[in-house]
Amino acid sequence: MSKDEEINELREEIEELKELIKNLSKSQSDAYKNLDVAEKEDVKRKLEKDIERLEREKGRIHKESIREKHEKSFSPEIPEPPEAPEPPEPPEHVFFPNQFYFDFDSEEFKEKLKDLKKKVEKATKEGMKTAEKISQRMQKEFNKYLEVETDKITKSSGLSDKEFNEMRKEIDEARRDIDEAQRDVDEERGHVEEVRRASLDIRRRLERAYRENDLEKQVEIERELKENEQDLRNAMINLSRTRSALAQTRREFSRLRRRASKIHEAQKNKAIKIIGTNDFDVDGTISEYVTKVVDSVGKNLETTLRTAWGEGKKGIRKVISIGDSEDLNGTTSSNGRIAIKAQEEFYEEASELLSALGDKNRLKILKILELSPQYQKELSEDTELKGGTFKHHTDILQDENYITREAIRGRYLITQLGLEALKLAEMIYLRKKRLEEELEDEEGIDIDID
Amino acid sequence: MRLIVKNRPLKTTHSFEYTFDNRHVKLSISKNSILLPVFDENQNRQIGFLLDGPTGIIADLLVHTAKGAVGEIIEDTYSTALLFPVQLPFLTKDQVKEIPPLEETELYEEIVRKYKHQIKRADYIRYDEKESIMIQTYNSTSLWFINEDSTFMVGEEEIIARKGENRLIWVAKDSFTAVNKNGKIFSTSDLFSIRKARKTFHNILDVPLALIFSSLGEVFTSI
Repeated sequence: MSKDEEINELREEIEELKELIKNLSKSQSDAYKNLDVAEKEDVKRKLEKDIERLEREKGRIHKESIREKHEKSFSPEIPEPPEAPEPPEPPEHVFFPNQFYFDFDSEEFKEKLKDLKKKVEKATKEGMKTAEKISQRMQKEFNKYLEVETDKITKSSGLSDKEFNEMRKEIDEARRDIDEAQRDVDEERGHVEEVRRASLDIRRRLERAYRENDLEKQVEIERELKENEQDLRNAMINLSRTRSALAQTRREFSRLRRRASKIHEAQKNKAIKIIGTNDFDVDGTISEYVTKVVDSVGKNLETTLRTAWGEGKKGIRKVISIGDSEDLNGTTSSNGRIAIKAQEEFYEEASELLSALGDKNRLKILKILELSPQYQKELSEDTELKGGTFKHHTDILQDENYITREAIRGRYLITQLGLEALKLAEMIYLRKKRLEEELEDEEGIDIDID
Repeated sequence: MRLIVKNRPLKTTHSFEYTFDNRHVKLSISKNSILLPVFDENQNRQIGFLLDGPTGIIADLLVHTAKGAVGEIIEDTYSTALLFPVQLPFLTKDQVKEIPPLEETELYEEIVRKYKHQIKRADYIRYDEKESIMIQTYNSTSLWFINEDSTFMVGEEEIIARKGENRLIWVAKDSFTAVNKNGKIFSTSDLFSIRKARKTFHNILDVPLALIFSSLGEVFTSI
């Protein structure tokens, strides 16, 4: 039905009402004529009262709305002009900041926070106690390990302190033996030299006797020579024997020396360096114990948090999954497999959101905008992007609502989502670096106790 | 205050845009829009103009905070609007010309009469002040107040104000968000905090701006 038709109908209704009023007033006047004097006065009084009330409420505006909402303030006597334009639709507000924040100053929140603090303190105390237990247990295990290792060392060396001192004496004796052997060798060497010299002398004399053709001398000298050669052979044998004895003594000496130094070091540094839990936590009992304790503390904290918020699991999930997350919430709790299938929307949207982050230029833009809003020119200079490339990247970021742009000044601003995405990227990067460093540290520490 | 229009119309010669000093708001006025002087009958003085013709408003109500941008861009078009004060910076002789009196002004008189109740609430505004410009839309759904560094808008069920670079206040039916000078956000979402919002409201904005609405209490209680 068009507005004109509606208005015409209303007019017709008004005409009918007017006629009704006329008829009513006629019937009223007729009735008034038929009344007695006393009754007439009574009616008069009533009418006067009504008129007074009407006068009183003349300026009053209708409290209850009799028309559309936007016409609340209009005077009810004036009909709406037919040519009045339709009111523009109210602007659609996309931004709902209340979804992201709590009322941090509310009494309710403060009470919750107090409870939470108490519970966290409790949990920390428990944690401290367990940590003390762990440290005591570790200390015990460490001491045990020290004892075991010291025994091992003593067993492997086969020497106690007394034995060590005895060994030292042996070493000294060996040293003296070496000196004597050395001296013997020197003597033998001198003896060999003398025999050599004597043999040379004999040979010269023998040559002279040959030249002089003195046969007696020749025979005598030849005999001497044979004797001398025998002496030389004997001296050489003696020398080699002494040499081998010396070498043996030296070897013994060095062996004793090495053992002594090792034991000396072991006795000096009684605290043995332990790297990694595997070195002393042979059965893995401590690591098991630690993981159990940590798990229980974590569960305690989780339950404390849930009870403190008063909304249980649902409350926490709400915070994590803002927006269109009903499917996610509904399905994950009931059945894991169904949830995985039902989250197609999540996979699609999340991949789009992440792909918008997957470019160093776009990350650079977000990082610059994190500090302050930027005009296009400034941003283009800072990122060294120009024209179409710059627009391509900013469009992608704008599409995913990571950045927004002012309508009048045209500055680019980072949104809440953009800021959180940037933080996420930074967090992943730092986490990776840290893990790598930890891995490097573990590889670097590899000391052999023996 | 009784408002009346005088039949001494002006007409815009071409469409134009005007960006306010605060650089948050841009006004666009169409060609052949009619401007009629609006008078306060009791004091017999002009207080503004009634503009008949499509009028667009774009307002940047975005603020950069430590937690990202807060606020939004509001874009709206109104068929008629009341403009205050008389000396509007965007109305010069280059843009408007005088035209002969209109044959019928009853429609405009009716429109102005409907603003009566709204204007009564802001009696103390000095309309002759050049710095502040007020735009009241025909269907009373929104009221804009714009000055050198602030933008103030009252919608049907919300109040949004921006002052300078880092201050924003937003009171909606079930939430309250405020950004202070340092870019820190206060945000609440229950009715309890709306009561608190009333206190914070005066602290965040300067007094003259906050006092625009004598019926501020009514606004809050009606939410």
